[in-house]
Amino acid sequence: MDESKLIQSIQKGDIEAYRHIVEKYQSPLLRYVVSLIRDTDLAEDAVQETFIKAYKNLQSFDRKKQFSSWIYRIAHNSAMDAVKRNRSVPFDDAILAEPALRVEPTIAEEIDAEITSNQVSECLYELPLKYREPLVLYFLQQKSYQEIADVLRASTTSIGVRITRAKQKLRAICKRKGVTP
Amino acid sequence: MSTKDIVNSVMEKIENKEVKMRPKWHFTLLTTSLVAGIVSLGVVAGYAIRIILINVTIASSSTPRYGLRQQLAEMTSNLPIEATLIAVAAIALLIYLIKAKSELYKYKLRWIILGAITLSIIVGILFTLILPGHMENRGEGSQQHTPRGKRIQKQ
Repeated sequence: MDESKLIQSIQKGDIEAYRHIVEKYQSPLLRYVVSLIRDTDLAEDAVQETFIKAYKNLQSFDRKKQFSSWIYRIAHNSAMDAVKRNRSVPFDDAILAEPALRVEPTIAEEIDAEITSNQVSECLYELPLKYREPLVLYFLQQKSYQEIADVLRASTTSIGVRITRAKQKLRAICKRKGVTP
Repeated sequence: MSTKDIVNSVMEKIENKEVKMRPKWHFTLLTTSLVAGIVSLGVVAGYAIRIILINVTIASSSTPRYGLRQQLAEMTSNLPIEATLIAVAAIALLIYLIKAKSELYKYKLRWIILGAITLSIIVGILFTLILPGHMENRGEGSQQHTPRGKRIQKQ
């Protein structure tokens, strides 16, 4: 069924239709949130919270707009909230780069083989969140500039600039670490 | 928790009515209170801007400016109390709905207040530009005094 019609039926009270939405978005959202907060447990909680928030506020969703951008924005907010709530979990990017605080490889592999199986991911996590987030959305989540702009509440120009800078920074980090992307 | 658990956990909460969808009126109320608050604050800001401008003009003038003093007295006595009350109520309701009831698109309270003030000043300036006559002539007294002001200017 078309996503817009699915949303419409949920808005009209078809609870079971929401299962399809959760099933469709759970994996990409989990990958996205893990890339933001690098803690699998927190990420899972944040994703669950995302689906609950989305359901609660589904009547405010404008079906003319993209649902994926809307739910990614909620996921972004939930991830940021999770970090704020768990101050013990380091959010500073420099600290995040410490090996001891990284996501365990075995779990991370389940979450996203694309990220962890590649050495480039180590460089990616050293990028400041400002640059990492649009890069993850663009390359790993295959979002368009417009969709990223909607999620991050920025202009497409700004997103383009951030992605270009992110690539340059990533290249520099990889070079410093002796990793060939 | 596996990804499968997320589906079951979310659906369980929805099916057990632990999580309920907010009705449409909640969001309509949110938007209405925002618009009402901004418009009302704009009216109040418009009056405030006019009063400040008149005060500045009087203070910087070498002549007594009786006309302006009269106008100032009228504006002060005809302050739109109802608009102020609507503005305060609407902004309070908006903050309550955002902070207590809505978890989406969180903005810090200071940004909401700052945004509301900025918008109201802009709307206020627009009001003073578009409706200066309305604001000056509010009330019966002003209708009597405005022609006299014009006569003074002619002399």
